[in-house]
Amino acid sequence: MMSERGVRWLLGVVIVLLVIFFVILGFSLWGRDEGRLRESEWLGKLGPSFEVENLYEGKDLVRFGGGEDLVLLNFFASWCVPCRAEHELLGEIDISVTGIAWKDKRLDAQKFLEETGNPYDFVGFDEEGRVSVLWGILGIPESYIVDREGIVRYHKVGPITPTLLEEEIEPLIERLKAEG
Amino acid sequence: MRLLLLLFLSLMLMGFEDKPLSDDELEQRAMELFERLGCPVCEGQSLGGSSSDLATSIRNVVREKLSEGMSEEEAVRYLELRYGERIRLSPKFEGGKVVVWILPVLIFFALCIFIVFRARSFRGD
Repeated sequence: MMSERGVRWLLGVVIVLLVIFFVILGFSLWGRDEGRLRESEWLGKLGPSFEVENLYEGKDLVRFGGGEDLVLLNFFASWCVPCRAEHELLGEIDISVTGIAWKDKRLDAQKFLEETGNPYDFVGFDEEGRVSVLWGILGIPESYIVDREGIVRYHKVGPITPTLLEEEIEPLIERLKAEG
Repeated sequence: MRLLLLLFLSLMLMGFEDKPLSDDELEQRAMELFERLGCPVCEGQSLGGSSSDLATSIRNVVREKLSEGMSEEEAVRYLELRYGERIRLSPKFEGGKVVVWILPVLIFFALCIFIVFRARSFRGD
């Protein structure tokens, strides 16, 4: 027979275990939601290179990657409402900008760029979403800054805003340019 | 919040289709794998159960990888490299996470022992 003291001790152990369990569970669920929207697995790593069709020149495949220049890689679509909001700002970015039309119709994407202006140095056409999965995108618009070594230095899910451009993107670009 | 909603709606709006493999056995393996994976943009939903465009793209890429000869585990690792461990519906049984798996079992047994001894002591009284 367990003594009264033993029973109390056991109850204490149960309570402590329960507390530990819920603390761990809480932290893991919290981190899960934050990471889901903000972090790319490629951040700080060599971004994957890919071949993609040119939006304007039919089936020709163009290779992205190799890190010759600073590049902003931007996933967009003509049907994506938030993409329209950031579109004009992309033209203000002082580095090479590559656009990837994600799961769009070729003509729709071309028409969208005709109407809103084309801020891209190159536009890839990713109708099946292969490039997007390769980069692990979570939503569009989504943008990455890749440095000259091909390392992903910046990631943003959602539209680029004037504040973001001024406070995060432009200072980073200046810093990366200074690094040479 | 409204912006996030718009983002997810953007992902849901367009209807691009699944491209099932012509090899029935391989397609079956792919379908089983989709049930073990989570959709990265739909909380708690399996990759197989999600109708979002992103999930459709991922399913088609996995089908391609399997038909190129990748094993299921290699395909999971391929996705894990891109979407992180959250792509697995059940977390891996390793490292510190073992505690999350083991603690409920320990709590259950400790509670059983507690109830049994408590009941005995009541009968003793």
